[in-house]
Amino acid sequence: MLKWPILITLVIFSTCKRNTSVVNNFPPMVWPKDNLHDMEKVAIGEKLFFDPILSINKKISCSTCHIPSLAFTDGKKVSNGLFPLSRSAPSLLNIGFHSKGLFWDGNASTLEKQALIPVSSSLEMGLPWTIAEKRINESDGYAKAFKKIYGDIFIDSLKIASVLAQYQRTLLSNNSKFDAVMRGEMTFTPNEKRGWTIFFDADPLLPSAECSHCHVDPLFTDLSFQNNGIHTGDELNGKSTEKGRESVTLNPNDRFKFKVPTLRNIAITAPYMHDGRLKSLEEVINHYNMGGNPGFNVNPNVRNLNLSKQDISDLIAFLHTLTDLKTEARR
Amino acid sequence: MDKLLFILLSFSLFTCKNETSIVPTVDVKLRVIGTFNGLPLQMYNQNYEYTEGVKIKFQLFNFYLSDLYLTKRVGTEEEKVLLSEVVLINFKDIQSLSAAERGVELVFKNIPIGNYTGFQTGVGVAPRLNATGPASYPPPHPLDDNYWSWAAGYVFSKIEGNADVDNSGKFATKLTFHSGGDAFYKPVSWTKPISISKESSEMVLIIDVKDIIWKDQNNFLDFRKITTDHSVNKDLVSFLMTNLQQGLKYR
Repeated sequence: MLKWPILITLVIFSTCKRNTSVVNNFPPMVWPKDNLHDMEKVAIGEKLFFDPILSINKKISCSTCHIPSLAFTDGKKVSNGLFPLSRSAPSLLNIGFHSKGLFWDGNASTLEKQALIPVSSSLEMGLPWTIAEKRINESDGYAKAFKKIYGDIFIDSLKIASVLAQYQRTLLSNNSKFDAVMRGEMTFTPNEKRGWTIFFDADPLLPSAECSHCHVDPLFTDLSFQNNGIHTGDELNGKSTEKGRESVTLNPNDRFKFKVPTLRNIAITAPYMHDGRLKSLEEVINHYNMGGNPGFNVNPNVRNLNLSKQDISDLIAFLHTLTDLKTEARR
Repeated sequence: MDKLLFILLSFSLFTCKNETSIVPTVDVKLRVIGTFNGLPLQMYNQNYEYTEGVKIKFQLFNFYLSDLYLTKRVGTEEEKVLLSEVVLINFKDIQSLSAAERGVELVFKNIPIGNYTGFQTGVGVAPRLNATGPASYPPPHPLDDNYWSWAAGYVFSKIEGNADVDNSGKFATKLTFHSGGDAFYKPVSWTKPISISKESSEMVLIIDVKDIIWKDQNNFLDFRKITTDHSVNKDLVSFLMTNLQQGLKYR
């Protein structure tokens, strides 16, 4: 008799779809209630991600600018779709955790909304969504796969975007040396350990690099938008069409603010900054070491650091521990 | 088997009492108004006279409150109604005069109507919550951010901005003061009549940031000498957190 309530309870729990998933010590990933995790959607999304069918010339796919072996960046200063863009391709690893806005300026609030933009952008893939929908509905393979999930209905842009979002939420990076050290499976070298300490300002007897205010682990980004003082004289004097976050919020206090990028896999995602203006990690750290350029809204944690060559070398050694071993294996 | 299922479902329905529907409730708004030396506190857009000719501009001011309760005396017993386990009072987006006068607004849902006799909270993140981390909280949540993994705890309060220490107008001195640590969690309470009804459901706290960084002419943050601290200088953290607790006023 007692077995039945237990059985019923188990059945009820097992049929409840969860809208969060958990990875190590990462924050829970929240899946939209109308696009809960579904492996069949992930599979279509993965196929579409690498398929140039969604570009006007059938030569550009999402993976043109987001290459798996480069931690889903493209290694270029700025991305090239149909035409050169003004910003670099951010890594998509762990993108499913980015709950406070996507793109460098936060122009899309969800992956479902983000996926709609590059396809129809005249600079990127240049394909009007009406044509994209037609192509997918007329493709035997995609039509069949979508119908298996949604039934015999027209496959519109929202459904296409939702499967692309599903795939991107499965792109995880949590298997670096840093993660292994945190799990107690490996140990840092003395230089890596010293770099870790400087990165996190964790020892008052060592210099502070102020990195971890914005590059918070485990994602190594706090997902906020910051002006890191990268812009120089002419740009500060209004000779830049780039406005950063201001172009979305229309708030002048957000000028030149960009989303804090993840530092996971940073050693293999050069060049750096929103427009790829810095070629190496040395250049990046030198920028911060000098305290950045002035600006009324430059984050006050960007300040003269007085790091020595050894400090910089150790910081870089630590940053190399953030390379995912799975990503490295793809290279 | 169908009969058994029916019995179980019926039983579960009858045993689920919906007690909240009996007591009338209302949504309670908490407004936290920031000032600096009595002037409305705005990020970015306002310079403030500080002390000895130094001027200051803010980019960020935030702090946590934990275990927010309305309290009520019933005979000799004290009854407590939980408003929230934890909230982040964040002035990041308070960037205009009208926003500053309105303050940071938070809403607590379904609070029982009644005549309360006090309000209590803790300034900072309560130790039991401070022992958790962002991995425990699906975003958006107050505790999904402001976490020091290396110190295994939350940053209770952040003050960030720029100071003009040489009267150049450049505000070139960068300020970041981040405070945290269980030892600096500070309970605070007010005893006063608080009527929560359909007509009156707003509570207002006021904090003057100058009260946090300037106690008297011998005890203040001198930005010509100190511009940053991340809870390394414990005396300084104690100064800031004590002043924050003592400076918080219930209007």
